[in-house]
Amino acid sequence: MRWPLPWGMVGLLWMLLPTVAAAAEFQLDGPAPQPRCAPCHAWLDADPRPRPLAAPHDSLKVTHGGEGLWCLDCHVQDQQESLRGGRGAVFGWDAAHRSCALCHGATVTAWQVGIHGKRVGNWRGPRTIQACRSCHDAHQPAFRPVPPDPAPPRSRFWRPPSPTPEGPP
Amino acid sequence: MTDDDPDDSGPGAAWTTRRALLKGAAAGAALLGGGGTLAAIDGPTGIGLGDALGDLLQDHYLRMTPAEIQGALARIERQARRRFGVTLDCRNDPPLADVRFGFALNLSKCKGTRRCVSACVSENNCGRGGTLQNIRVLELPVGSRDLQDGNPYFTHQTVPVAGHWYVPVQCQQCADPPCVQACPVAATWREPDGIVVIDYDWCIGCRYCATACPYGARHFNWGAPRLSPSDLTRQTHYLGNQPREAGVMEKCTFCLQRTRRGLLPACLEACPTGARIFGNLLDPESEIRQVLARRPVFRLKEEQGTEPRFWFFTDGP
Amino acid sequence: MTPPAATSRRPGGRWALGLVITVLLALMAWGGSGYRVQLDQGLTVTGLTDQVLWGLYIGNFTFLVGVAASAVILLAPACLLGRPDLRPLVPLGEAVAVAAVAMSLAFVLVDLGRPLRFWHAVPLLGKLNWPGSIMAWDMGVLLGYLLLNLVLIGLTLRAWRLGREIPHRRLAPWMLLAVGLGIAIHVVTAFLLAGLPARPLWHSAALAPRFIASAFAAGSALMIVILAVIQGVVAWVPPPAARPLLARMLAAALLIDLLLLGAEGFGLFYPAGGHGAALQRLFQADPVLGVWLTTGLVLSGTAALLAPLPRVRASPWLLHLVCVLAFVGIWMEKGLGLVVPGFLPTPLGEVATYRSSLVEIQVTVGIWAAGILLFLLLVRRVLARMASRSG
Repeated sequence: MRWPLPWGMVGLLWMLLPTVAAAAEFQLDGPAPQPRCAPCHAWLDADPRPRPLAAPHDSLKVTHGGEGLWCLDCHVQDQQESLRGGRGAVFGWDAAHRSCALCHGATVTAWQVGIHGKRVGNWRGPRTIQACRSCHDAHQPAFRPVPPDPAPPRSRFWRPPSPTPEGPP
Repeated sequence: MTDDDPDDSGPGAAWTTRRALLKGAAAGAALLGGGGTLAAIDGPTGIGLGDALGDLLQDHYLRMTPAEIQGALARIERQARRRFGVTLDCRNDPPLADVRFGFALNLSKCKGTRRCVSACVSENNCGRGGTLQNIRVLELPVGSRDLQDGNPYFTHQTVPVAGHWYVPVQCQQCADPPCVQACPVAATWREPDGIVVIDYDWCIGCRYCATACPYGARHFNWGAPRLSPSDLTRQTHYLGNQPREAGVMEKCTFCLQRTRRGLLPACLEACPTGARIFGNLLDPESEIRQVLARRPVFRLKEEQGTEPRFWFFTDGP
Repeated sequence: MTPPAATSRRPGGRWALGLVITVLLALMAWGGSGYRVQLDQGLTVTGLTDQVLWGLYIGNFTFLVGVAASAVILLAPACLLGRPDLRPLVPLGEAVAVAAVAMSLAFVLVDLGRPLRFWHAVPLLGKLNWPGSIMAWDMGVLLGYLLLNLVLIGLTLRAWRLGREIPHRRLAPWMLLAVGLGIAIHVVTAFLLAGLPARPLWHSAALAPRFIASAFAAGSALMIVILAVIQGVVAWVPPPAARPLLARMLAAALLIDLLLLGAEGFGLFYPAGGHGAALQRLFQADPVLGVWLTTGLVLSGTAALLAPLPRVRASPWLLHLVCVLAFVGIWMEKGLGLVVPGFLPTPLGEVATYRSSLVEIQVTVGIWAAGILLFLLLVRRVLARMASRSG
């Protein structure tokens, strides 16, 4: 199968869109995804068989789900701007959370009501909600350690805590 | 949950005698300077004697007339120009109707980056490089929820560090705040939107409120905050982030200069992991109410009976 | 001031008084220069920090309120319990009360970040948070006690000047009020600390009775020494019953204080999960603080063990030693020794400590000097009147 040219154009357009309007009362916020499949798979058939990714895919590191996930569990063969939902449904990037919900249903529900995820701007009226991918790299979703901001200055009379003989494990 | 009715120490309790006395004192001070009003002593570029006297003789916030409040705001803006050469916008947005603010913090998500601390210092015009920070991020060893084991001074290359978790502590905006009860001159009170505020121009600096606070959430300006003009956040509020002077208390106000205009607090917007959740406790659809409805939450030192409006929760496994 | 009456019998007595006053004025000037620095630069020049919010100033405040309160131990028996022979002591007690209350108010004032705003705490003019704030109660009863004692001492002096008897019957209700207020100022000062669940060391029902007991001990110790000094300097002889009575009160108060302290210590240190463990952590981290508190406790404890012995109380030299031990010991453990550890570890578990700065020491010495001077001036008038009456 080949990538029809217009789909590649749409993919390119997605790269340029900063935010995606999803519903009337809130706005999704976050960086647009940047699929890098098109250059090769526009003319090269993709091999759908689950396998450890080797060259030329070795720059693509996927830790999501450990050994248990394969590209096509989320992506749709030959439609690089689409993602897989439940019962064979296919969604665009703007509904990427539906794909996440396949495994993380409770988290996505929490995200929808505002328990999970980050909102910016207003606390009332139209909300701006950050999409899953604005915090989680779908391929390596774990939080990456960052340097903390500076510690507060200590009082000049600060004393180091004495080591507790029998602390928690 | 939203049982709390803030006490109605409204602006109605003005004494005519006291007013007359104050007016007399102000007029006397103005006569000394030879001007009509205190501000006129200085003119636009004076040394600030009139404003210093105005600051000294200013009435309690809840007893000022709207005109007096406007005068106070103008004085704050003049003093900022004199002190920093910066033009501030100091406002007096009232509490919003049918709003009571609440905060929640997801401890599973906090990674100890202290981005909230930096954003708070910058938004609220706290001194730079000083000990005064309205948020403390405690690092606790796994297995302990005892704040006495907390270390706010961690300096790691990167966070989080294995075997530890992080608890940011700031003002819990208690519904029954011991600090408000303690203040001898009623310079601090709980607003109808649930935020405990300080009238910085009324505080005498006795530090009894900070002594009464079980969360270490009140901080004293031992000296004047060190701020350069470029550091200043210019959108300010009388009860919020107006520049403070030496000798008065301050605290977290849930960024009321922002939240009373519909914006989220600075710490929340700065959090890189979305651990912080803010909203209107009176709105069942609000994010904060969703947290309370769907998560097992707890509050710090509930046994103290202070009824915090700041909840903590964790995600499941 | 009227010229000093001829109360001084010893040659050079006036010289000595002049020298004392000069020294006190010099110390006040030294304190004033320290306070100017503090006014200029703010409380950064003190040893106080975010962790320890009160130090030497408030430590002296709690102690001196006790001394002021204990002045009633001289009013009560003389005026209310039918001991007319002790009546000459009443103006002395009132003078102690006036000086000690004035000093405590001064210590609160210098502790304020914005002292010029003190008028915010003046009823009607300011906005007193009454009845909510214990601090507001404290201001009220302290001011009331100060005014009442000034009035009482003024009435006594006036009656003497006019050559009349003191109208004891008419004054009795006011004396009763003074006794009540005397207890009240110290109970309220204890409540100021005990009313804070956030500070487990202070949050104890025993604090108020302990304050009263230690106050009576420090107050009677001070009185015994004052009477001895007056007797040594001027011709006036105090009522013979005064000294043994005060010494017995000292012994009783010290023993009660010791009992209450022991009870507090048991509650703190016996349970495994108590606040005692945190305190041990503090004293490990800052041994100086532990040594300070222990020294205070050892001094007042020694006094408590010595004072009940009749032989000790009979010997002037030993009694005065016990008085000094009690006064200094209580000043140490009830002042800094109670205030500073109350803040530590902080509610968020930090362990820091506190060291008084030079400015704080200057200001403290200055206020003590001013208080002693005020007391001297009041007592000089009282003694002058008494001498002219008897002479």
